[in-house]
Amino acid sequence: MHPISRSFIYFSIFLSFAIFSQSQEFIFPNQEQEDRFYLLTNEIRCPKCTSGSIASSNAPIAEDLKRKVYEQIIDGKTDLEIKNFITDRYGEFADYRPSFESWNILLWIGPGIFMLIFGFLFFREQK
Amino acid sequence: MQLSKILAITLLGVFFIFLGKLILDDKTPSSNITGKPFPQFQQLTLDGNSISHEYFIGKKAIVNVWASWCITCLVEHPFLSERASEISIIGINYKDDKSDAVNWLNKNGNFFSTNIHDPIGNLAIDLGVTGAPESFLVIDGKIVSHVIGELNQKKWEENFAPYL
Amino acid sequence: MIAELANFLLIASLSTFFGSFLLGIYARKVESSRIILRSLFSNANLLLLLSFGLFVYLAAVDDFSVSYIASHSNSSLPLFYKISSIWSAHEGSMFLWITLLASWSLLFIRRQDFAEIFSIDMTTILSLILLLFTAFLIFTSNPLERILPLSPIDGADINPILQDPGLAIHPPMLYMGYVGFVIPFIAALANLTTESNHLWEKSVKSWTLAAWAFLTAGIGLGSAWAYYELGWGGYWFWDPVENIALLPWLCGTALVHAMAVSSKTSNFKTWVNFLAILVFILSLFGAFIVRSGIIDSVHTFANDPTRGLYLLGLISIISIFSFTLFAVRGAEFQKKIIILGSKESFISFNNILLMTAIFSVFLGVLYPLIYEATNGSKISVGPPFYNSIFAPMVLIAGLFIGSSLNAQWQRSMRLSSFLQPLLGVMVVLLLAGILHYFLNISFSILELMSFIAGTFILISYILKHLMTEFGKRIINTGSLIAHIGFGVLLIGIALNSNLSFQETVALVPNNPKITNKNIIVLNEISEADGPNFSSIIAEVEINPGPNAVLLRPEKRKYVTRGQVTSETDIHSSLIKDVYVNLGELNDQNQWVIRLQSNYFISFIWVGIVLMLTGILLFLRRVISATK
Repeated sequence: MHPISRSFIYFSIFLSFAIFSQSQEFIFPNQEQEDRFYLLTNEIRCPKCTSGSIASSNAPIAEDLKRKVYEQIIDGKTDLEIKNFITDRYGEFADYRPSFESWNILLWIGPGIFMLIFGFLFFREQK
Repeated sequence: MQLSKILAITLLGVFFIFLGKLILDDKTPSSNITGKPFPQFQQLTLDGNSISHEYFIGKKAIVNVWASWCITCLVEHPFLSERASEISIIGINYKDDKSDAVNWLNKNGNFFSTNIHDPIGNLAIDLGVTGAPESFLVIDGKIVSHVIGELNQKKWEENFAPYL
Repeated sequence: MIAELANFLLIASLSTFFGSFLLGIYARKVESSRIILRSLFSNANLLLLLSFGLFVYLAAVDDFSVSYIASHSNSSLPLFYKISSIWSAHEGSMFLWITLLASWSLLFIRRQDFAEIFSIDMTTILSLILLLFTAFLIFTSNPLERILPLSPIDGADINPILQDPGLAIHPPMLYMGYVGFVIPFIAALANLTTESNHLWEKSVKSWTLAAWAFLTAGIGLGSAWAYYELGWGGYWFWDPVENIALLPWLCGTALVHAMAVSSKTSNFKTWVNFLAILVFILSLFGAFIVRSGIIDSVHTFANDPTRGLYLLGLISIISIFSFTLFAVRGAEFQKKIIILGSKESFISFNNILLMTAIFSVFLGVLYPLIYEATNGSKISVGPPFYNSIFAPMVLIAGLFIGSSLNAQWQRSMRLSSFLQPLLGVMVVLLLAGILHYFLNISFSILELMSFIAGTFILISYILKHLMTEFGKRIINTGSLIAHIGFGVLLIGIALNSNLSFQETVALVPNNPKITNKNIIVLNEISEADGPNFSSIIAEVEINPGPNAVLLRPEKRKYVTRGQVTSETDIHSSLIKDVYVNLGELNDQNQWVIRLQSNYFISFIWVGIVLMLTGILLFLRRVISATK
C-alpha cells in the first residue's frame, strides 16, 4: 500500500472517534430514563465502527441506533428488551456485555478461577 | 515444575493464537439476519403504493439497500442492472429524500421491480443494515444470504449464486 | 543528501550492532576484546541516535523528498508539530521506539563494569535486540525512503486532532516506559546465561522504577488527552490498545513490588527473574498489536498484516529464546515459608492480584478471537466486563494495602496491629453510610467496591499516623504518596461514575430549555476565523443566575483538508467539571448541544500525579541508597 493511503487510514480512524456531531435531541420526562439511556448507549457497540460504543460515535448508524434506544425507552421497554432488539439485528457483536451463557460463563468466571489456582500454587511454591 | 515456567509456556501459546489469527484472518463480517424470515413491515413504495412483508411470500428476490447520496451504490448499479434480467430486484431506498431518489433513478436507470421508501431507516435497522449499499437474497419470505458493501461478480458467486 | 546520510548512518549502526553482537560472544572468553566491545556498542548506539537526529532535522526543514515527511507533515505547521509528526504513523514511531531503546542502552551500558561476564552478556543481548529491530526498520518500514525525482512541493499535513501538545508528548513518554523495561529484561537474561545468581535485581532496580514512572506518566497523559480533546468526556475506554498498554504497567507494578521481597529475603528470586522477562515481552507485544491490525481499535496504526507478521516473528524469536532460557536455567533457591501477615505475604497477594489482572485483560482481548474461530460469529468484550472484573480486584487490593501498614519482614503481625485496619473498616462503613443517608448517594456494587478500597487506603494511612508513636512514622514517603495517590484515584473513579450525568438538547438562541437537572440557554451563535480554520462558536449559559456557568464550545472546519473538529469547552472545579459540546444544526434550525456534568475528575488527575510523585521519590531513595 502506498504510504499516503496508509496514513489516511490512521487519520480517518482517529477522526471518526473525535468529531462530535450529534444531530438529535434526547429529552426525557424523568432522570431514571435519562440515566438508563446513557448507560445503554455506552454498552451497545457501534456495528460499523472500528471500536467504540454508539454513545461515542457519530456514524450515521450509531445515530440511528441511539434514536431507536431513545424511542424504546420512552415507550417503556426494559433494558433487556432493548438489548435484545439490538442483538437480534446486529448480533452479539453489538453488545459490549457478553451474556452469562454457555462458553461466556468461562469468560466471566475465568479471572476468579485463575486467581484461586494461581494463588494456591504461588503460596505452595514458596514452601 | 515451577509456576513461573508454566506461565512462560502458556504465554508462548498465546503468541501462536495471534499468529494463527493473523494468517487465517478473513475480514468478512458475519450477518445475524440470515436464516430469519423477512422482518414484518408496512411501508410505502416510492410510487406511493403500500407494501408489506407479504410481498416476498412465494417469491425469489434480491433486496438492495441504496440511496442517492451513496457513491458505492452508483458503482454497483451497472452490475445489478445486468442481474435484473435473471432475478427480481427490490430496492430499499435508505434515508433518502423522495425526489432525490426519483431523480437518481431517472438519471441512472431503474431496473428495480419496486422501491420501498425507508426515509428514516427503520426497515433497514430491522434488517441489520449498517449503511448503504447492502444486499439480501430473499427466497419465499426468508433471508438466505446477506452481502455488506458493493455487490460485484465475486461476492455474487460466493454469496448468492449457490442458492439460485 | 542529508536523507542519504541518515540512511547510511542507520545501515552503519545496523552493521555495528551485528559486529558488537558477534564480538560480545567472543569477548566472553577473550578478555582483551572487552574494551573494544564497549566502544563498538556505544558507537552503534550513537550512529543510530545521530541518524534519528538527522531525521528530526529533515522534518524540521520540510524535506518533502522524504516520503514519510511528505505524507505526515506540512510546511505551515509550527516547528513543534513538524517534529511530533514523526511519531504520528508507523515508520516514524518505530524509529523513535528504537532510538529510545538505544538511548536507554547507551546510558545503562556506560555504567557497567566490563570485567564481568554479566555485563558482556547484557551487551550481547542488547546488541541482538537492537540488531533485530533496526533490521526490521530498514527492511520493512524505512522512514527515510525518498520520492525522487518528483518530490511534492508541500506535505499532506497532520490531522488537526493530532496537533495538540498532549498528544505530541504522550507517545514518547509511553515508549520511554515500554523500552525502559529492556534493562531489567537483559539483566534477568544475563543472570540466566552467566548463572551468577548475584544481586542482579539490585543493580537494575532504579532503571526499572524509572521506566515504570515514564509508563505511568505516558498512560496518565493519554488519559488526560482523551478527556480534554476527544470530547466524549471519558478518561478510559477499555479500548483494546489501552488494555495492551496497561499490561506492561501492571507487570511493572508487580515487578517493582516483588523486587522489594527478593532484595530483603531469599524468596522470589526466580519469580522476579520471570517478571523481568515478562514485562519487556508484554511491552514488545504492545508495539506489535498496535501495528498488526488483528484487533479492532481506534489506535491502530496501519493495517498491514505482512508487517505485523514480521514483527510477530521478531517477538516470537525473542520470547521463545528468553522463556526457554528461563525454563532451562531458572534456578531453584532456598526459600523460607511465607508467614501470613508478613510484608512478603502482602506482596505475594499484590503479585497474585496483578497477575490475575494481566490474565483478565488477556482473556478479554483473546476471547473474541477464540470465540470467532470456534463459533464463526463475532462477540465483543467491552467496558462492562473489565469494570466488573477490576472492581473486586481493586477492592481486595485496597483492603490489603490498608492492612499491610504494620506488617514486617518475615514475621506475622502482632494482634494489636489488626486494631488499625479494623478501625479503618468501621470508619469507611460509617462514611459510606453517611453518603448514602445524608447525601443520597447510592453506589452500585462496583462503585462501592472502588470507593471502599480508596477510602480504606486513605483512612488506614491517617490512622497509622495517629496511632504510631512519635519518631516511628512511616519512613518510605515514596510508597506512602504513591499508595495515597492510588486511593484518591479509586475514590475519584467511584464518585465520577456514580454522580456524573449528561444531557442532549436542541436549542434556538435565547430560548431556555429546562431539563431534569439544569436550565440551559444558548445565548448566541457566532462565526470566527482562525489561522487555518473557520469556526462556529456557541455561547452556552448553564443555570442563569448568580451561579451561572458560561461556556463557549466550538466547531472548526480546517481549510486544507476540510476536516471538521469539535472543540469542547470545560468549566473545571475541584468537584465538578461542566463539559459542553456543540453538535449539528438540526432540520428545525436548532443547535444540538450536549452537556456533561463530570464529577471528581480532578481526583483522578491528582491521584495519578501523586502516584507518579511517589514513584519518583522512591526512585530518588533507591538511587541515593546504591551510591
